[in-house]
Formats: sequence, structure tokens, C-alpha cells
Amino acid sequence: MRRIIQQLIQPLDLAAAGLVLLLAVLAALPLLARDEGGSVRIVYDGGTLTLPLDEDCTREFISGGHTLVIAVENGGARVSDADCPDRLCVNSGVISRAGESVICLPGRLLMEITGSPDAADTEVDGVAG
Amino acid sequence: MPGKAKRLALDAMLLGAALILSWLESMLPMPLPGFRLGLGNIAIVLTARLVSRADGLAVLILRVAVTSLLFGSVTTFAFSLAGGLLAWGVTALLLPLYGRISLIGVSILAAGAHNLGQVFAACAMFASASPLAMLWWLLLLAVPAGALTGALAEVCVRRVRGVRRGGTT
Repeated sequence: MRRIIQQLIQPLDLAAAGLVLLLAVLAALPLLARDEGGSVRIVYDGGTLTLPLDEDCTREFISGGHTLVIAVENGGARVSDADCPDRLCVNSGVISRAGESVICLPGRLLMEITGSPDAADTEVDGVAG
Repeated sequence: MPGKAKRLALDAMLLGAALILSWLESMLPMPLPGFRLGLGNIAIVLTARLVSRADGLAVLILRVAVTSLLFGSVTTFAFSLAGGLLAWGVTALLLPLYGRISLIGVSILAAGAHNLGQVFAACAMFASASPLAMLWWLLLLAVPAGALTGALAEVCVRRVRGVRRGGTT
């Protein structure tokens, strides 16, 4: 087995692996300093909606020909139900930290956590009613 | 470059292989949302290496079109194409170095490029930087996934080489 692998691998293969790993580390660095999230922003076919994370609620969205249910509870948000074919969005679980997101490609919906509630308040006012 | 009829036959066969591999992959359960092994890439890299880079592009576009028609939607077509075109570009750039780099290295970089393309496509579609947060683990997994598909492609190339020589003489 070891000999077969050695026969296959060329010197530049290791450089290729190293380069992609380096990019992975660089992509991870900005995430280390992430704050607690204050609100969740949902981008869907019908527009954009921002909900505060400290108020539990459940909302239904119709987007991309699919119906998705988003639940906010215990300071986090998740897609609790969806009728899209792969249900990857439901399997993504709960998000609560700023910058975390869940994407449903068939439903063309993005749910992302944005910073502190004060930072988001400019967008929240239209949602209260 | 093989003759016209042989080239067409090879491309058609490799497209068939790409479709079967994509179908197989859609059957595999994936623990992480958004992550794919990229088995279909084996056939694209093989086409680019055994026939020509342009033929690899043609097989890629046809594979993405047919799999989107069969299993996906317009959205998945755009995303697969964004990732696939970037991956093909990297493959086309690296193939002249073949000998110092094997298809393993080519596929690792192509897998990374594929993930970059998909994440950037998601950023553009939703006008948000949030999808970038997935990049680190997608790139991390691109290394083993690319190495696996690349190793399979490399083994195929070495096996097929003898067959091709026998066929053209």
C-alpha cells in the first residue's frame, strides 16, 4: 500500500495540499474573533427580514417554490422544517454566533446571524409589527 | 490527440462515467451540509488528461446540465457551473506540469477551486459575506476529497495508457 502511494505522488502534490490547507487556515482566521449574535437576517425570494434572537418565534417563508419554517428559540435560529428535496438546511442545525449562516439552495434562502442587537436596530423597526 | 471518431467515442464514454459517478454521489449520505466528494470530477480530469482540455470542458458542461435536469434545479445548475468552471480552469492550468504534479495534486487544487467558486456564487446570490464562514472547513475537506478522486483518476490514467497505445497502432 505504502509503495503504491509513493509511486503515485509527485513533489508538487504536497505543495498543492499545503496551499489549500493554508487557504483553509486563512479563511478560518476572521472567524476566531466572532461576537455573540444579536439578530437573524433572512434573505429570501420575497425580500429580507431581520428578527431579534432574544424573542422566540416561528415564521414561515415561501421562497424558490418551497416552504421553509424558521424557528428562533433560546437565542439561536434554525430551519425547523422545509419541503425542499435535500433538506440540508434543516440538517444544518442551530446558529447563534455572528457570521454563522444556513443556506437552502433549492429554496434560494439565506439565514445569517448579524452582530449585537444595537448594531442591527436600523433594520429591525419594520419588523416589530 | 486521438482521431475524430475515437475522440467522440471517448468523450461520450467519459460523459457517461461522469453521470454515473454524479448519480452515485447523490445516493451517498453526506454528514456535512454542502460538502461533496466530487466523484464526477474523476471523469472530467480523465477527459482533460486523455483527450484534451477543451474536451474536458465540454464534458463538464454537459455533465452539469444533465445532472441539474435530472436531480437539481436552475439554482443548482448555476452553482455547479460556478464551481465546475473554476475547477476546470485550475486543471487546465496545471496539466502542462503533469509529471512533476500528479492528478492527485491537480484534483486537490481543483476541489479547493470548486469550493471557492460555490461559496463566492452564494455570496453573490444573497449579497452577503456570510457564506465565507463555511470556506475553512470546505477547503480543509477539499484536501482528502481531492486526494481520493485524484488518486482514482491517476490509477485510471496509468491503466488506460497501455490500452490507448494498443488501440492507435
